[in-house]
Amino acid sequence: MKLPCILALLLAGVRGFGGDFQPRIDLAGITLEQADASEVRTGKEAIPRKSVALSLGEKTPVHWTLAYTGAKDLTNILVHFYVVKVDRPGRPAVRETKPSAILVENAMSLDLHAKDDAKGEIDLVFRAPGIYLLRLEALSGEESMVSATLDLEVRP
Amino acid sequence: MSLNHLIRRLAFALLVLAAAAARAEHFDIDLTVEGPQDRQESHSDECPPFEGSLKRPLFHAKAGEPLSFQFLFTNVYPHGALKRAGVLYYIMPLKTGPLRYPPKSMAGAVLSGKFLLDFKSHGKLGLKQKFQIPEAGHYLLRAESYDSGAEHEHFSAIELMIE
Repeated sequence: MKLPCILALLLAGVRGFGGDFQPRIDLAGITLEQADASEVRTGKEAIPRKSVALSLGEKTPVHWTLAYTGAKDLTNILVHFYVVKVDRPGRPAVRETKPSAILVENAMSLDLHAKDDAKGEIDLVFRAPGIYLLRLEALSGEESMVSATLDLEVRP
Repeated sequence: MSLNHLIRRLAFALLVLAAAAARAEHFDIDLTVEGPQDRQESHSDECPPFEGSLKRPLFHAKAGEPLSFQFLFTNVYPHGALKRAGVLYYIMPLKTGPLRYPPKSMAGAVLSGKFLLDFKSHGKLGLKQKFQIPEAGHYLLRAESYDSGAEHEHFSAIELMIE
């Protein structure tokens, strides 16, 4: 039996409202602090995506923070982080990804008040070279509220 | 029943209630590891002591095989949210000696990670990750809470026998 999708386990019942977020990702000396509020389903990111070169087999920690900068309380927000193998750099981030391509997926359900944040640290170890998409996003229901995305180029 | 007897019984009942509140459960944890030939799961235990009270399942795999693990923490604290609670996970070789809570260093870990968040009532945190262990040996996969504001924490653990 295959393990179920983490996002599917947490998405049930998620309903909320839009707000202001500040994502931050630190990986291999690169810091990404730009927030992209574009809609996931359009596949069009407003901010040019950065690329990070990594080595095969090396343990690389990624640190992420999602801070809520709005004033209104938000309920049932889903914070979703994932790294997935893709066929080319710049590939649009889509939710419908083959489970076999997902290296890591993390999700948490939150109620957010002013100045709240959530943090994560995850060791990444790549066993296959290629291009990977790393994404941190906040979701309200099926709608993306904010996202930060990197391309990872894993070299042999 | 004398007044003194009644007072003693009331005091005892209050002590029992206070103890029950102090030992209230915080997290349900489901931890699963899966490989080509085996699948094991474990559930929420308490520490201290580090080992908890439940027997750890033993998972078998071969060095270099593609494996995956998954955990799901659910806040079941009866009094609501758990502010700034942490979750830590790691895969660590057991040959490095007796492990302790919390681990002093993650330097020897095959993989590790942690999270810090406000767990709302019935809030969930989940992680699924693929991994391989290149070297044969005896390892511990463990996911645990920390700084949850209680005298005890919750964890779930599985031993990995890599041949």
